[in-house]
Amino acid sequence: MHSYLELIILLPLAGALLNTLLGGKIPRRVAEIIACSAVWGSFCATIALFFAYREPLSIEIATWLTDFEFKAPVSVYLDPLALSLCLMITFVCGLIHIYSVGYMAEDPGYVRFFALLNLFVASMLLLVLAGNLPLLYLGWEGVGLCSYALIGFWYREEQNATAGRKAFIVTRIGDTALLIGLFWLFELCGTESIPELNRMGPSLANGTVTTIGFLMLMGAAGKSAQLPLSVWLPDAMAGPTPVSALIHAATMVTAGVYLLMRMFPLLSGSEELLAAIAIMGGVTAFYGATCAVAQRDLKRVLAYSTISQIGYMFLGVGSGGIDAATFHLIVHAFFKALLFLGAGCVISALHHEQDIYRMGGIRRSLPATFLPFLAGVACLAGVPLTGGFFSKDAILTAVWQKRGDGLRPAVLPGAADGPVDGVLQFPDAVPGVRGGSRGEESHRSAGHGADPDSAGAAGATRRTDQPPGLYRDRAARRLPGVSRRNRQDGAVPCLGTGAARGGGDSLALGDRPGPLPLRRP
Amino acid sequence: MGYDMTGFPFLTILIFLPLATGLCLLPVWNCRPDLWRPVALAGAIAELGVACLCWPAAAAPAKGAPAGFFLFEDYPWIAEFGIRYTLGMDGLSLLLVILTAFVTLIAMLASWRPVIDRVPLHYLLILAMESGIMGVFLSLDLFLFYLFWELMLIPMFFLIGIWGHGRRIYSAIKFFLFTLAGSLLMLLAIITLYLIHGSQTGVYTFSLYGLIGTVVPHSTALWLYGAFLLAFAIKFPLFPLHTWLPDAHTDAPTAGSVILAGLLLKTGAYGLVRFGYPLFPAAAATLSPLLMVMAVTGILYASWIAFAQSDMKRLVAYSSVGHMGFVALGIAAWTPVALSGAILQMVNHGITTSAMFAMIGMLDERTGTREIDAYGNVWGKAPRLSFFFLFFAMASAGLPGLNNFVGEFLILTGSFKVSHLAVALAGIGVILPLVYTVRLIQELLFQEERRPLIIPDLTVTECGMVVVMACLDLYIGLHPGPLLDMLHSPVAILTGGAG
Repeated sequence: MHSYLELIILLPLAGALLNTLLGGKIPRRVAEIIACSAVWGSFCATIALFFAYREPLSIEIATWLTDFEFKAPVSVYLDPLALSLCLMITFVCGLIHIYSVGYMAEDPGYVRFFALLNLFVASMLLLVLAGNLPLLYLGWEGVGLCSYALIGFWYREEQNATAGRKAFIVTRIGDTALLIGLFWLFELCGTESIPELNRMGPSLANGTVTTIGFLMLMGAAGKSAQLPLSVWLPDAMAGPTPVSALIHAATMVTAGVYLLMRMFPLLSGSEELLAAIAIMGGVTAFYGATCAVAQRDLKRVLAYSTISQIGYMFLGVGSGGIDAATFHLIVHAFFKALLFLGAGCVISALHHEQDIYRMGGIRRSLPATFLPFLAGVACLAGVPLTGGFFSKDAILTAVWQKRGDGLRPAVLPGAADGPVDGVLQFPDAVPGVRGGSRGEESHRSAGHGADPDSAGAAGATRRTDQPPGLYRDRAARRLPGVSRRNRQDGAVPCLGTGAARGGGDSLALGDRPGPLPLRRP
Repeated sequence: MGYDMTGFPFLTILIFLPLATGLCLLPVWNCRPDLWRPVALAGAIAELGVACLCWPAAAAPAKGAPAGFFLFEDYPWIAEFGIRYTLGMDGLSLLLVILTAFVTLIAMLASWRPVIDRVPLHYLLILAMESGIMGVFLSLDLFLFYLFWELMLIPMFFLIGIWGHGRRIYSAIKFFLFTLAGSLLMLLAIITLYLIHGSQTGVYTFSLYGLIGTVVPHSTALWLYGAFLLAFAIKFPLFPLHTWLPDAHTDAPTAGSVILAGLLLKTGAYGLVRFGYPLFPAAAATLSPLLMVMAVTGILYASWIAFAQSDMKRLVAYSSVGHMGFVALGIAAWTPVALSGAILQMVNHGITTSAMFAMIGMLDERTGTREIDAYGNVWGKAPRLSFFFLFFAMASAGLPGLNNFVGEFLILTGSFKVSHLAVALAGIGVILPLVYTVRLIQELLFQEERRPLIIPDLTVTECGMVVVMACLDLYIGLHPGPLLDMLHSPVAILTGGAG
């Protein structure tokens, strides 16, 4: 157990270190192999850990910060939540590393790219596995640094560097609130250990929990691009597409949700706070989806859709549906990474054209990209029998079951969000179906794009019939169970989704004439 | 450790070895230019070695010394006035002594190539200053302390005045007057305390541990402590007494900036911890809100002003004021966690800021300008230099995993129970450094170049120097345990005594 846990974090770290130290002295292929094998090795260790896992455990690996009564060792807290996120992170990161090998094939800065990517994976895993809050904060800032450096990866263009700077500073504002929350918790509880804090949660006064929770919520909002700190994420799309897929869709931006889920036993002591989380999530979900409607840039559409999907997760957490939110977090990681990787293929096939109104004919020219992309869109839209359908319904169920808190209005924007989001992909997917004039211009996306795409698609759709691993029994128990036990309650969200989907469709219809005049002759 | 260290005059050696090395330069002053740098460097390296040798001594307390001290030397000096030659080293002194030896070495390496004019004098002054600073960190007799306090002032005055840039004479005099004004008031306070103690007990002594516990009327104590506070706050420097610092830094040569930021500023904080609080605990407690206000204002104001600077050195100088504000906050809170964080932060700031100044010195030497606007795309030209610049800038902005974070985190954690408001405001001071730092980085390292500057990458010597500093940053950031353990007993004694 011990050694697996250490390997999980140390392998990517070693990969980053090795690539940094060896610099440009090794052949490109070796650098790529180092980076990829580090992450896949970490994935294997996680798998081994998955099979060895029996019960939640916290292990102290080394000392870090110990000063008088203050103790923050390098400790790991492993529970199903952390374990499932580790599985997701290492798997998605592994796929994206392979994708990057092809995507960055022409770029001279590949050493820096892979070193940062590996460092990111290590920090993200540290964040997820951290057994105390200062250590979590170490990972939290580590992913922020990598995000900053990777958004501005093509640093000579001012707008890229500025976007990275913006992301760093905006998230730091939230981080500082989180930091003050940590100080406060330490003053009250005399510990920073996550399991201990959660155990002490019920003994804290309601008002204190609310205040501290708000500070943590600010931190989470900054990292997860929720209102009002959501401004940085669309600009962050200036980074290379694999970075957008990895950091700004699948993993880092969900760290805020993870923090709230991790501290949920503590935070759930305050109903006001939960309501605030739910409202923030619901409003952001609606806001993100609405903004996405107005975007022309393919990656920005996806960025806003990420904002709205994470809002969805906040809504789930605020309603007490931790399982549902976790489920959605993982499903979202798969389909959003898939969509971004697909978008990367399309964009590079179209010579860096990102305007969706200038695209078309993707289905015929890039069928290997089109089909997985369509699967991702279906999952995002929550088409029945995709992962997104189950996860979103689980969240809506959680919201609906939490009646009497005035929370129910939040269902509506929340419910509206998903389908609208899905519909948004139509200007992209639909012109693809229609077969546009630019079909002949686009060269086939390189073989590298296809593989992780299909694998990602498999990941996203696999969840449809058989939610694997940790979710299997819960999903089997809860989702059908809800409608059986509690017929109206379970049915309404589904209905709501359906109704909103109808509305969304009409939106899409209204949208359709739009693209035509804008297309290049 | 296994060997007996009692009786061996480590502390005297620490203080006088640099000065002796400096005097060794005199015979070769005019005839052997090839020996100037090696002799000076050998002295600095030997000093660092001696300083590190003191580390194992911490295992056993010294005989006859006040609690917490593990190396102690005490001889009568001017018996008529009760002046003794008393030196002592505890964990607090040890860390600062090692820092001093290390930063002096860095300063010497940093001036290896740029200084070509009056080289032996340059090194003599650096070594003399090292002696003075060592004396400040080791003296336990107020008179001796004052002597060294003044001694370290003079070499810096000449360093800025002779090898400086721009308005160097103005800056040197400004530095001198500010510091002198503060220290003269402190001298008055020392003598007053000496007389009060003598008239009460009949024992006239300048010994720190003789004077601690002197019963002074609270109103008088406020005045006396105020004089100490003023002297130390100027050195710190705390808002609004900081105005000499940006000028001194801007016009100082690289070695001067490195020592100024890395060491001289620490003497102010050290004085407050070693002398100010223990001598006048009640007055210090009364005035600690004032110190806290000065600290927080300084953090916010300096970070704000740093944002508007166009000269890199000035920007880092203001960031220094901000970082030292954190140290002052930790001292003002005077809880064990905050105080050990503050002392650790002194070490961190010493390493990181020296590294920043050294790197700016390297850029300046290559291009002849420190204007941020002149640069751009340094990353493309000198990737190694840029990497380390980014590294130290991030350390300075308090990135977790690097040293400054550890200090700031402990200071804020420990201060939180004293004042929620101060910590919340200082929290803004955690955001602002990041803002001006990433702006500096973007304009300097990224973006298209503004002027066609030729910037060669780091040489082997420079690379070795920055790698060592970067490793120290990482080490303290990831494993501060040994340093914090070293601080445990002095901090426990200090806060226990004053609490």
